[in-house]
Amino acid sequence: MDKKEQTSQKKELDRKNMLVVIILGSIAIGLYAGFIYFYSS
Amino acid sequence: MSEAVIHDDHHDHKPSGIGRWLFSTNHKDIGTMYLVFALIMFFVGGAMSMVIRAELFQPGIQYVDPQFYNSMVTVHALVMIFGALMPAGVGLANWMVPLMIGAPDMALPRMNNMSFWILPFAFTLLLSTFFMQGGAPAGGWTMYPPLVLQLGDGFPYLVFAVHFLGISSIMGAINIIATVFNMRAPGMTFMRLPLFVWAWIITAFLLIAAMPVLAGGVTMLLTDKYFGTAFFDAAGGGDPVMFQHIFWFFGHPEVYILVLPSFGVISQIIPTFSRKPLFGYTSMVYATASIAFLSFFVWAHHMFTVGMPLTGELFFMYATMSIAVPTGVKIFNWMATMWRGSMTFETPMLFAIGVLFMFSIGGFSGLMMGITPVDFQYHDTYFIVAHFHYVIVPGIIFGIIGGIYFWLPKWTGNMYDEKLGKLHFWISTISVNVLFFPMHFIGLAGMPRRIPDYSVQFADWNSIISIGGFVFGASQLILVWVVIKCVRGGEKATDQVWEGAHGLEWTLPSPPPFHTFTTPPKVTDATAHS
Repeated sequence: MDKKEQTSQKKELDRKNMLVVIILGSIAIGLYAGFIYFYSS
Repeated sequence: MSEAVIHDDHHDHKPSGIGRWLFSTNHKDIGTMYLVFALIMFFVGGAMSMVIRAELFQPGIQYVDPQFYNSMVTVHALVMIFGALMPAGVGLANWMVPLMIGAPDMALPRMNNMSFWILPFAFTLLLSTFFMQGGAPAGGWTMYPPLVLQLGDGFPYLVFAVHFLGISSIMGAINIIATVFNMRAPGMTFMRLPLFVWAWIITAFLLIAAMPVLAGGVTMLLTDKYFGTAFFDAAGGGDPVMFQHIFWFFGHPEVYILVLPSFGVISQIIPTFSRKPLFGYTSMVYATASIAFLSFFVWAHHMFTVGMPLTGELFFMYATMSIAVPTGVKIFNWMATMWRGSMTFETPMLFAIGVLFMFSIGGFSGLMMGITPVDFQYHDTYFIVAHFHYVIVPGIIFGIIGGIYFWLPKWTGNMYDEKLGKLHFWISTISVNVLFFPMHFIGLAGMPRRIPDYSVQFADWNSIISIGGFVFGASQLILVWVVIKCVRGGEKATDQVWEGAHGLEWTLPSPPPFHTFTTPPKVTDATAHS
């Protein structure tokens, strides 16, 4: 595998990891905020 | 040894000094830090339980005033659950998940560092409350209002400590999910994952779903105390019982957050020392997922005596009992794995069998309490204390200790002292039963929990229980000695360590190089656990 291919694979992996962080992080923050909003409304 | 591993040996550059630990992004170093932190917290929480047992050795007030006793009970629970058990599970996951799936590290190494370093900060906040006006939290780890709102200056520290612990756990959970989803070696399909990894994926999802609920609940407590809201204040139109629902919606899944990693560990140990593949791998995965799913529908069994409609009580009773089905599947599969296996009884296997027997005792008493009318008799007695300590100590802590003995030769490159390990197991097992089994009797006889004094009729059993507690506490020093001795030297461990061990982690040298699997290995049915 040449260096260019390795870099592109690394970028693709970083993108997938960030996607997991954004999705799961949003779920956690959404649950927290939504929960308080639900009880305060 | 695989080609990838030989390649790694040539690039084994470890950072040195304190920076190696402060700024570490290496999963093995962070795993070690989690485990050491958990061990320290285990002794801090354990010291508090020694105070509790010393006070209860005889009836009457002996050594501490009731307020301090209540603080000991409360902070013991918080420290053990959030400081010892959860970090120990995450420590094992940090060490083993990348090695088991053929990944070079965790997916998000910097976040991994931050998840760990939040913990000492959060516990400094929590433990500093002992030196504040009003003392440390004393209303129970459940933090029920209005009692918890009577806490003095320590209250916001308690709330923020819980927030930080939640943030740390959620970051750790996201990291584990990202690692397993995105960084598995080629050929490592989901149904080839070791059971320990499966247990951790499911635990991670539980954490993401449950922790924000607790964080939301304690935030509302904070606004009730300082910002004039009345979420849980009956005088302002709020409902204090609502907090109990919120707390246990988090609290029951939390039990499975603690126990599933322990189940994952013994699912690795039992096949190894039975020299057979795990019986019913697929059913184990589905049973673990079912336990996690059902855990969100049983919370109110902690609140039967609070008062709720009969339909509600029936629903939560049947839902609670239904969890016994997937749990029974797991117990059956572990026993079937051992059936006609070529078994040997090294220390990790002894601890795993200990989990099997003694977790079942806790499970059965749990079933008894799940029966609504019966729970009215047991509620708030020592029967409950016996039940959850059987689940937590021999069910979870024994699993974690078994995992430490199992993987210690891999981590250090040296075999531990088997004689000392077995001595640790037997003293722990005998003393843990002397400690917790008689609590069933005094609970059934009506001794209430969380009280520093008691009727003289309970005096004999309480003395025996306290002796069991002191011996159990002291016997854990054997573990510390075994670990120190093993780190310092001993018989060299082979790469496979155990004759019956299978999986990627056992193809690496013992100890594994600082960087592993920089070139991903190819996984086939022969190299996968299943």
